[in-house]
Amino acid sequence: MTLRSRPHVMVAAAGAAFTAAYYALIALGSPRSMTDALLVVPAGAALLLHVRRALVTPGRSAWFWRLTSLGLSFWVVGEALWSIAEFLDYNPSSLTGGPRAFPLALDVLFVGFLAPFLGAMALRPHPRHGRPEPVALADAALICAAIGFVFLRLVFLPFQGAPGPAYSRFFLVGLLACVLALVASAQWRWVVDPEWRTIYGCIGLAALLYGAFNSVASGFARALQPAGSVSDLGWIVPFVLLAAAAVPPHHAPRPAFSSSLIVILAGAGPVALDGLLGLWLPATGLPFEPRPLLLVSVSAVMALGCLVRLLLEERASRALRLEERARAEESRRAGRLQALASLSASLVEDLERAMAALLFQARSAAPHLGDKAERVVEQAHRAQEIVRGMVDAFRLARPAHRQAVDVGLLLEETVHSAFDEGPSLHVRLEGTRRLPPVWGDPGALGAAFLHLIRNAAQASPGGRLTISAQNDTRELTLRFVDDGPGVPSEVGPHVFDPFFTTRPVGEGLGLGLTQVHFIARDHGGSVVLEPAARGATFALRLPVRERRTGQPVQPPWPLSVAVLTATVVALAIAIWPTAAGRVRWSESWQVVSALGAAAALASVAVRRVSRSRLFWGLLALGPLLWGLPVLLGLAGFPDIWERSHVAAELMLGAASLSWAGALLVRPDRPRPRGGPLVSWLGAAAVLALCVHGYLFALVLPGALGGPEPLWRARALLAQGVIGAGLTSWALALFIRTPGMAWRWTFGRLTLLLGAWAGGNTIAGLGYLAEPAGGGLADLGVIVPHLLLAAFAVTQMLRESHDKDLVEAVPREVAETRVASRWWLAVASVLVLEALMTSGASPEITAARSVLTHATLVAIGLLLATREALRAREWVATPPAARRPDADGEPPSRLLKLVGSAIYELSGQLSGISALSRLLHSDPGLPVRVREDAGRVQERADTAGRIVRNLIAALPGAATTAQRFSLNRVVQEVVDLRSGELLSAGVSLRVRLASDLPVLWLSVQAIRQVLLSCVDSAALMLRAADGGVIEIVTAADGDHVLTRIHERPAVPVAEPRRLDADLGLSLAREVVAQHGGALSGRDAPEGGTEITVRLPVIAPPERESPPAGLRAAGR
Amino acid sequence: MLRPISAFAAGVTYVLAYACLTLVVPPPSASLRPLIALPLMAVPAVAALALAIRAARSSHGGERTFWRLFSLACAAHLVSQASFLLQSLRVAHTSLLVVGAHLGYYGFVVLSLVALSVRPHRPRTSRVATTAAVEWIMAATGFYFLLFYFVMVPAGGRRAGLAIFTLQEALPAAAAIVLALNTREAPFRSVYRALAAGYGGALLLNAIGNWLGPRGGLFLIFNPRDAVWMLPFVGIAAAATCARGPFWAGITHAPGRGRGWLAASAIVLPPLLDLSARAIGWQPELAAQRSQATLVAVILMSLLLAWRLRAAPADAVTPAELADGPAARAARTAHLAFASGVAHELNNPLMAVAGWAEVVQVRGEAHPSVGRLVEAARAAADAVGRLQRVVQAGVVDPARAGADE
Repeated sequence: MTLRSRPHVMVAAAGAAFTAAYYALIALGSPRSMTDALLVVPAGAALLLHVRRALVTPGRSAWFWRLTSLGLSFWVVGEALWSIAEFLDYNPSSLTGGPRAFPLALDVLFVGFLAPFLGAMALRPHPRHGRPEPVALADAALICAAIGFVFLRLVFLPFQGAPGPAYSRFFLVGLLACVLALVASAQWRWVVDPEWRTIYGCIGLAALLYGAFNSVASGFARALQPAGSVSDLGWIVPFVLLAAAAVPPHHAPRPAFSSSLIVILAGAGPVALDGLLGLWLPATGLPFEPRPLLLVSVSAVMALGCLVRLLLEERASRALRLEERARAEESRRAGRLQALASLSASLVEDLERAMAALLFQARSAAPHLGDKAERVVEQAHRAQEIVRGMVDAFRLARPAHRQAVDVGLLLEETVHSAFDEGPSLHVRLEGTRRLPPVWGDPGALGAAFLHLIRNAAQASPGGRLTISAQNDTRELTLRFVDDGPGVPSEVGPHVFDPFFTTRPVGEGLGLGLTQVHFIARDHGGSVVLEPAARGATFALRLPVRERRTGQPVQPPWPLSVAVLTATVVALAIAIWPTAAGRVRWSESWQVVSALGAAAALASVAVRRVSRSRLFWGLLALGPLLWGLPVLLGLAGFPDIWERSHVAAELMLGAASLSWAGALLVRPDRPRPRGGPLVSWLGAAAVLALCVHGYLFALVLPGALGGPEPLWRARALLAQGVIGAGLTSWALALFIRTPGMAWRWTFGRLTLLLGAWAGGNTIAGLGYLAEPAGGGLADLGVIVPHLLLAAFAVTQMLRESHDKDLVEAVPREVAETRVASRWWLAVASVLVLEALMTSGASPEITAARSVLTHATLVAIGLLLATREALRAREWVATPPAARRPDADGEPPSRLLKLVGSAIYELSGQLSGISALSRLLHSDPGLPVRVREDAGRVQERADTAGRIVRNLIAALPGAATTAQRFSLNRVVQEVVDLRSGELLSAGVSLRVRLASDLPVLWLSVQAIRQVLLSCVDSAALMLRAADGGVIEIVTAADGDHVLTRIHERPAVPVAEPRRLDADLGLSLAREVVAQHGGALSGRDAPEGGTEITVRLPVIAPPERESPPAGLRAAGR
Repeated sequence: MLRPISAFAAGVTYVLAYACLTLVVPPPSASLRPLIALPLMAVPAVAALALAIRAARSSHGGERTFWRLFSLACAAHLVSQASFLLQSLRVAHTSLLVVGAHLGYYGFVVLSLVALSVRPHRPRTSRVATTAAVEWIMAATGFYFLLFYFVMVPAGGRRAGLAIFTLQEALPAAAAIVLALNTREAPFRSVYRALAAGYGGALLLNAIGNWLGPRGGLFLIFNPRDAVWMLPFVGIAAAATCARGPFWAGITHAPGRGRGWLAASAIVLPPLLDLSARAIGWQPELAAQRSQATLVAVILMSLLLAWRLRAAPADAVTPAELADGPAARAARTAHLAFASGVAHELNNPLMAVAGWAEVVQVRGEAHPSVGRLVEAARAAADAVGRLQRVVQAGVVDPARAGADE
């Protein structure tokens, strides 16, 4: 392998050669200006390489390289100016400053060169491959802790007590280098792409070395080290690393992160580093203070990080182990089933022929089989269906045309069509939007999804099925997780075997999962039953169509702009010559950033609707409340912060409260049961509790006396605690929210609230030290607001994913649990008062007591109103409509007898109809006999319909309520009647509403009602030589409407008399029994329109099915 | 081949010879004493180290771990001896040597105890035994840390040190004696006896020396009581020359699963303890010393944890678990289930059709089409039977299945 093929080695060798030459020249006594001019070489080389990369790279990555080139050019120009100054006998190394303008320009260049790097990092141009592994996140945290230790030990702590102006400059360089090192090193650990890994790794290490050596070289901001010291490496090695980052990538294997090594590094690393520094720094004449507390603290943090990492690794390896087992099992099963399919393939055709012949013969012989004719044909048909099911399951038919399939969309369609079938199941889709396409047969994939959904519905009737999607570069995994009784371990290996079913005979063939297996295999994927604590989890893996290297990251420029702005603001604060100007600059930026964030968040709110709008609006209120008082102060109005700290704390409290309100809104959830007012009352009670705590602990003691510094320190602590609380709250929402879009929002919000809390605390500490402000600590206010604005703008640019949930599961919190939580909350108010009374002044105690009483009354009133509204809402449901099968007296004996007779009559009429149909279709009979048979069949059918309507109207008959979709029933009615009606010249036209709610009624009864209406209309149209029957479904508030409109081809002189139609009268009774209404009218456009109005009733609380039934679910 | 008794006798002879030497040759100057005594005292330990390494190489399973731990114990003792020697030679960084000497000594005691707790006569794999041993060492380290943190540092060392010293002399001896008395398995009985003799002899001599001997010469080296530092190694060397025990095979129990978090929390507790002590302001004048003890504990614990992680890596799928053992049986079961499923599902409707058609035929009013229906039903049933036989036989060629009829 030549050196040319390993450019990184070449760069390292060149760096080593340059370093040797540099130190040799110094040893030979070269003039200082010359050796300093030499230092332009590594940075200049890196600049050239970065510029070359910027010129040849397309897309967003080009901006990354442009920004890094800009940063490097700053440094190169700065170094060139430095050596020119030395050549002209200036002394730029004097930290107290020579000629005024010159050090300022140098500061801008040497401090500001890191800003473009930070902006470039914020662009995040690397391809993303899904979420980073948890272990990688833990490692990144460990790396960040280690880098934080290095910067604390070498930069921030040694700077204590350094003289002012030099201190802020070097502190800022250290701060920027520290942030850059943290961000780049964390990215290095979790970015998958090898090229970007190398780039981030080089930048992270360069920033770490630059920050550390820069601090040492500055003599901890006291006096620059002489030329030729070890710290001069800080001007060489980082730039060699930056040059290495820009050389074309070579294949770098992904490093293995051994736990043992990480534990050793984390445990012994800090102590070893501290020991080395203890040897090196005193040798170079720099102070070195032993800091055992820092070491122990870092050890504690690192140890905790190791513990978390080990736990995560153990969990990940357990998951991997289970997955590998499942894969091995799947591969064994594939062999087994493939053998079965091969064995069957040769004979299935034979079997298909035999079944077709049987069905034909059964139909031919039917006229001679007497009363069994219909059942014989039915059984022959069933046998043929079983063979077809086998052919489908083994995928023996010719595969269909393959195309790019949007799995998310297909899944949604399948779920909707499954709802139309009427399984009682809540289905929840998680992260199924924006999935990569799969190359496959949409029909087959849809069938596979449908089988898995049906399987869940049978395992857990009325339960929940969660379908979640996960994808990486290679494959897409769909998990179907139900909450049924699960699959017993002894049954598990056989669930995919054909004809394996635990359901009762006749209720399923056990071919569905076999078909899923073969469909998955056909698509190059697999399906496995994953072990789960409860319920069953089927994981369907499919290879994605394009093995893309990654997905694009969301619009990155807002963050990049925010980072650049923050750095420029920081730079100005660090080098501004006058204190007054610094304060004014800082305050202006506080206002601009806060109001900018408020404006950006408000414009997101304007684009949203409903609760999402409220969420963003409340978020916008926070920075607005923060920025307005500062703006008023700047504008010359009495400064609210200076005049009254109570008012200031109230404003800050209101800002926190508005964010707490935003988190309470929970826009990710479906609208809770009980209407918006009830949920608002609950939220108001929670906010009342928060306000109470805030006033009790902070505002009252501040308003009623106490020394101000102490009070300010306490207020700062309280603000920090509140910020930490809000951050944890957002984190909890991030963890618990299933929808990807809202997860993204809550995740970013967690980071921002954390930054806000930390920044506020830093700023508060700064104000404690310097009440006028204007220090670098002010960045603690400015940076979070700039980031918040960037977040809002990014959010605006992203597509709206508010509807991530297809069917949301209603919030089901047991009432007793809610009540006990409230009881505890109220008790905590009292306990707080009891605990805090001692030690406070009498005025404070009295005020607190009044506050407690007021809070208790307010919460009590809010909760009582809430409960009253909930109760009223429950009563408002009409009792008749609540349960169609719950009311009514038991049928009398006579009614039972009549019922039995009607059933018998129905059976006889079916027989007559079947027999006459056979006679009618027998070509061997005379034409007249066949015509008579046809008439008999028609009469028998009419009589049969009337009888079926009667049966539907009988109390207690066929009234078992179940979930179903009206559209599906209409479809069934159309399927049943269309063929027959078409031959009579009547066509059916259907318009189905897409947003119909699911009904909870007796599906048989409603089907019969609709059949009666269609039949009645058909009778009319037959008499009028054909026409069109239009069936329209629509939602109307709490009801669902079906309109059956018949339009005769020729206008009819005499309108229909609906009340004379016995079938319709019976249907009207049936509908009335279900809490609905059936009405008819003459339509203005001609014909008659019958409207069936059915109520939408919430299903009762789910009852868990008996154990036996559950076990038989699969 | 050296026999255990000969080895023990040789060792005891050497120790006696050393004791006689110290009595016959007058004590040289205080600075020369360690230079003469320490190399002579190291001989049994070197021999024990060599024999223990040889024993570890020739043994398997838990016994290998047992001998590895004794090798490490001997090595730790030699480190401690070497530190003392360098100390007496006045080499720089004396404090480092003191730490090394103490760590070596405590390492010897802890490793001896842990080795005895491995109990190689029990069926254990090497991995299980090593993991358990590392966890024991971690526990002992934690115990010593607590002892230092709460007893030695506050009490100033000397008095508490003597009590601890006596206790840790007694513990390995007691463990070896208990094992020697309770074990019946052939080679291990001799092993434990040799160890009990070595450790017990040292304990006895030490007790006699402490109770009856002159108090002043307690820490003066080059006297007959130095046998205390040699007898345990005579025991170890004699034990290592015993025959090796049986090799336990077929133990599939995965080691230490579920205890990972406990082991990992060992590195978290010392710094948290120290931070808490600082937070509550307990003896601030000793905080620096305690922090040093904490940092040493963290380093040791992290090294031990790394060892444990290497010994028992996180759950990995073993090839045995993925092996295709019962696949043939599962395939056979699936074939049979499929065959019976096909027959069950299809024969039901076919029998119904054929049955009703035959009933009509029997009634005597049969139309020819009914006869054809019966024929068709029979043909279909035959096709089902063929499929059933083919699947049951597991052959692809239908002709062969037909030939079986």
